[in-house]
Amino acid sequence: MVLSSRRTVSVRRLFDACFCYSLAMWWRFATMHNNVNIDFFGGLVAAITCEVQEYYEDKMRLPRGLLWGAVWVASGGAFASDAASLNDLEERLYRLEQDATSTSPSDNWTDRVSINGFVTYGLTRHNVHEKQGAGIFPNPEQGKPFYYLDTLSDEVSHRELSRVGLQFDVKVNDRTSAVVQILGQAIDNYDAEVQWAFVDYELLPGLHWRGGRLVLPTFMHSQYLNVGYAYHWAALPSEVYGTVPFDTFDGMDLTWSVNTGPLSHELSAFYGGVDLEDGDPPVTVDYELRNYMGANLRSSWGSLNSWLSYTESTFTADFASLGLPSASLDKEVLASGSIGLGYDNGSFMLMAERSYYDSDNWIPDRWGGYVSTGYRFGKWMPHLTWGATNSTGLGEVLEEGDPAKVFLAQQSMVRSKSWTYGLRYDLAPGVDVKLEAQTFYDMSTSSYRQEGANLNGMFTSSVSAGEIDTDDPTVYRLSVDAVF
Amino acid sequence: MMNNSMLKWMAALIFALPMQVFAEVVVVVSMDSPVTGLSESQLRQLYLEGSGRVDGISVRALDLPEGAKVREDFYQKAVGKTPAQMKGYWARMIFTGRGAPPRMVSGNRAMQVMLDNNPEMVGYLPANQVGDKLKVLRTLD
Repeated sequence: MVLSSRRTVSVRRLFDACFCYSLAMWWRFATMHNNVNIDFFGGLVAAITCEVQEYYEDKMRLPRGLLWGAVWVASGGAFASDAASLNDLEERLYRLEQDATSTSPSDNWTDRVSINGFVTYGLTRHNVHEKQGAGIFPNPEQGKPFYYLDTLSDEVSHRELSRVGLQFDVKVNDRTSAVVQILGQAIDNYDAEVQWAFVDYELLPGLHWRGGRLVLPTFMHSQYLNVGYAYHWAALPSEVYGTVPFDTFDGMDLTWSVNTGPLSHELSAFYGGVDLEDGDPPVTVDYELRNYMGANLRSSWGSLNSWLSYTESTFTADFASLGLPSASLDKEVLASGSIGLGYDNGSFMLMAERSYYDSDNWIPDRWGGYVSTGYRFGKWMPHLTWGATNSTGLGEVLEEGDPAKVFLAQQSMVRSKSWTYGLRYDLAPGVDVKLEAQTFYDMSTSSYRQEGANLNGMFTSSVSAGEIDTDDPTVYRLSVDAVF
Repeated sequence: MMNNSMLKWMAALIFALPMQVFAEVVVVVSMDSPVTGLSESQLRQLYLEGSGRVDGISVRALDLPEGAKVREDFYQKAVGKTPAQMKGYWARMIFTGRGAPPRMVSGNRAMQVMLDNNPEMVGYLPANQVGDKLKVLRTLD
């Protein structure tokens, strides 16, 4: 793909400071929220955490808190039989929990803010130990390895999958809330970018309006594509999730949650735009997507769930900076959508999705799809996925013969099929380890009428780098995901 | 004939058996709660959304700690999902800004105290832990 998913949006710099600050805040909260887990020894631990909590309001209290904690621990055996102490404890426990659940806006801002996060550490490499050659045009990357999806090479990398996200939910009042989610990816040196930043207003019971920066609901798993713990793969199937290089938009959405008997639905519509800068300075391209709109329906019925989506926008990009002015795009219409189905009864899982991406000018149309199944044996879940994707709809551009358009079109053509063999292990609640191998085949688009189409699927295009000889090109991934 | 020490051991064993393994899970609210009943689908919805409305009354759900056997039973019976499924479900909900999970209390005792003091909250307990300050809305078996 010419359009890389890596972005260099300058706005990010703004949030760097914010990100560091939020890490520090998270640490504070991780300590404070431990009081959620107090159990049988409730009063005991509660007393201690309560003091620790108060410490943050008044630092001088910590030594006293610890002293109290020690006293409480020391007298631990005594108060099981002491009714007065027990009542006192219950009262304390109640007050503590009451503090943390109060719905009415209170003076204590910590009552209204909740912080959640996700983190993934991953290792990747592929087995194509060849070097890029020269293609039809001179190749500035000649001698470098072939890259899968622009960055993944045959060397072990700690950067492809590793990422961290932090989310702040603030309850403004009974009907209004604000959410900010910051994402840092190793591949971007953890430069923090805002994925979600919106205000949510409940217009009517079950009807929510949100405005700000939102993640695009292009496909079934798009809105949580960075939360590795939320799905069974180490990486979402690239046949579908590698097709659209944008993941956020600025605008609004309207979501209606409705239940009809045992079925529950979420119907959502959105409207907005996307601006992004791609490439490395000084050669950058500005992409502008306007009237970005769409609708989707997510339904569930017991173990079954379904997804249906449609998205449309106009696309403008100036390729003069790349020396390809004739390939510039002016308000080309892009449309995409997908249909997905899932079944998960707690042990057996089956999931399938079919997507399409239609566009004008030299950008190939593309469809993608996958079928995935797995079975949970306690904490272990082996799974198997078949995926396929193909580019179509370029006949006119290729016949027309504008060299810049032909080059970009052939470079962007992708045909690929793959088998993914994976294993997921639940290390602890909220933590998993995943191992997976994805083997690609049938990557040639030479069935096109014109010579010189991409033969390397989602690896570096043969148009610029020559064809891969390796049998069974395979991508290996190992990841650890956590949510907190 | 059993001797004295054997009898003592047997008595000790019986008392040591965890009672709630045999207990049913019940859905409970404070005696002061205006909620008088909860349908199967209302209950499922409430625990899939964390909070909601029952007959026009705003209610919030409470959870026992992760790993509690009663919690596992409750989710299997009320929502039809395993702890792993619920964890994944909430990861998807939270990080897409679509909801927050029920608030977690520290144990049965904390659940009793919280419900007793907060008529707008709904919780669940082993049937033998209800006490006289709470009323049972549903029995799950």
